[in-house]
Amino acid sequence: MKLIFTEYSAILIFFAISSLLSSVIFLLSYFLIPQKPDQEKVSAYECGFNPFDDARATFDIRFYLVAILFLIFDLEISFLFPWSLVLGEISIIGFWSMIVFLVILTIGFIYEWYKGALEWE
Amino acid sequence: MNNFLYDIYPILPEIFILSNVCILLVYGVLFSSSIKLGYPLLAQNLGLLSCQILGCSFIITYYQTFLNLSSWSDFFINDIFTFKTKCLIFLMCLGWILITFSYINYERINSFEYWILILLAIVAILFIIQSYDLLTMYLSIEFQSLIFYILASFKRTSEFSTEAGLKYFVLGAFSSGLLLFGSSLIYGLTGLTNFLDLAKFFTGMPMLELSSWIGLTTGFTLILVSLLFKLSAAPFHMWAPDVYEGSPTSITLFFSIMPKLAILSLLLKLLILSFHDFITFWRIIILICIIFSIMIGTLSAFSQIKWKRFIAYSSISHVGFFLLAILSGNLEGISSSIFYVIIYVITMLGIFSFILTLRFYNYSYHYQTRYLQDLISLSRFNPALAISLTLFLFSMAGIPPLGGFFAKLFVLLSVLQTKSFGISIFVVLMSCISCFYYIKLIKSMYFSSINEWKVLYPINKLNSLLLGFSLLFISFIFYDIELLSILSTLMSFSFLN
Repeated sequence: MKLIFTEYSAILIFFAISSLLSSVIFLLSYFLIPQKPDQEKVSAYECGFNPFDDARATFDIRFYLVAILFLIFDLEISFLFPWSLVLGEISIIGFWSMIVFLVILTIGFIYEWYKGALEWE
Repeated sequence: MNNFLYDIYPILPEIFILSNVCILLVYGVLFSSSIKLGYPLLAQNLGLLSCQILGCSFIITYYQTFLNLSSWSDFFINDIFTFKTKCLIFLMCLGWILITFSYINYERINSFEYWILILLAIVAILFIIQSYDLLTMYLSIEFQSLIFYILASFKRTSEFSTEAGLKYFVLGAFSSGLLLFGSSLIYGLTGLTNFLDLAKFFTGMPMLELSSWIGLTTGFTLILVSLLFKLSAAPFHMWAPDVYEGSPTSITLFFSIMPKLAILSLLLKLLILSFHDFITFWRIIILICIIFSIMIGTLSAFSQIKWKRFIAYSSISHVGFFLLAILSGNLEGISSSIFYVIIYVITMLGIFSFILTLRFYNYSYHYQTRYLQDLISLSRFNPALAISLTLFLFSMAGIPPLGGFFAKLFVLLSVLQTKSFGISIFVVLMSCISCFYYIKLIKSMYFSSINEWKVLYPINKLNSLLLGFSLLFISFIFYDIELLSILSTLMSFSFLN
């Protein structure tokens, strides 16, 4: 059993070095610099003037929806690639299984189309 | 080709429901977004259609010629236990549907996706029951949990509901992560994922002194912790009161009845079948869980003032009871835990139909009861409702000759066979303590008086049907207890190896 774990020691050393390095980079700047907190330093920069308006706008949910839909259809495509390569070997049953998968995803697509998720105003 | 047909045959009900879901989804979205028809609200329509689908799939499942086989190259199993559990799930869901129709009307849940999600949740639960492999277990639990997260936050305008959904999502995703970690550890150390293969691998485990014992027990503990979390056993119960409180009430009922039977079947397969030789290890964990569950469930219910949290805590203590039945390790234990779950489900159906029925009318709007205070002097407003709640509470407290008493009796009988007197005494004491607040509710119904007369909204016919049915079932008017005990014994035979 001891033989199996010798390769893990490389991972342990890697983990130790990376945590050491990241903590050095993170904490060194905290301990070595002179700290004089000031209100002006944290305020927003608008070419020297006082800020006119709040820089934050409401996050549009459409971006999130596009990202999630991309994820789903991208995974569908990533399933299509290996299937298309081995289609010769898995004959008719492999073909129809993939068609069932595509039909289910198409139904989801019809649902989101008619619900208006694809409307970009 | 023959092999493929043997694979398809056991999951025919699921295929039926899934194809219907596809058709209903397309139908729902095409019609409810058509401007020509004026954007009709299809919730009631789809509700009736899904009721029909579930009825037909129950008939399909019940009249299938029983085949004892493992399908999809040992990913799914079909034995007598899964067969009967599938029929039970359909019956429970049909009972649940009786209540939701009125709830949807009153609370204006108008989206048709509600029913699509319910049907998909039923499919997920059927897959959980049949799963026989670590992969299938994880996939079906994820499937079910994702649908439940959406259902918990279904009422988008209520802050409670979105809070419940968010809490459930975060905690549930974390526990699914633990499940996956545990199963990957077990796969990494044994190279097997099938439950039966693991059972064969682990025979004679304590004697073997494997050096990977620590890894195996860690993996197994993680899987067990994750499943106990889903079952809301203490000390993993933190999500249950908040999620039960915030979700729409019919969804709370769905949460408290459906996963219990599903996760219990999974737990039985893991504990009694695969990891049976780890018994000296897991019985400590389960014992601690039982003590915590019963203690926390019983004692926390004292300070509750809202209905749904109260029921959440009492269901935590009921979970302690079914784990106690599994702990005994013998065949009577398994059959008494199944019996307890069935009685618990019917009691929950009854209590929730009571809560959903108790609506107060305040000219031109009516609202659902939320606080336990609303029970005061109910015996004068509606004596029938008062008697029904009395009987349900007595059944939960374990008073003969109602169903809850026999359920607890069978559990304790199977535990006493292993001469574990300490835990039995503890459990009986805690039951007595829980009697106190059940009787407090009954006292506030019958013996307290209120100054103003509250008007109750008249009961819906379907609600009354479910209330009456569960009441009659619990009080054994038709000798149903013998049928149930035969059913549960039959179901436990599949664990005979």
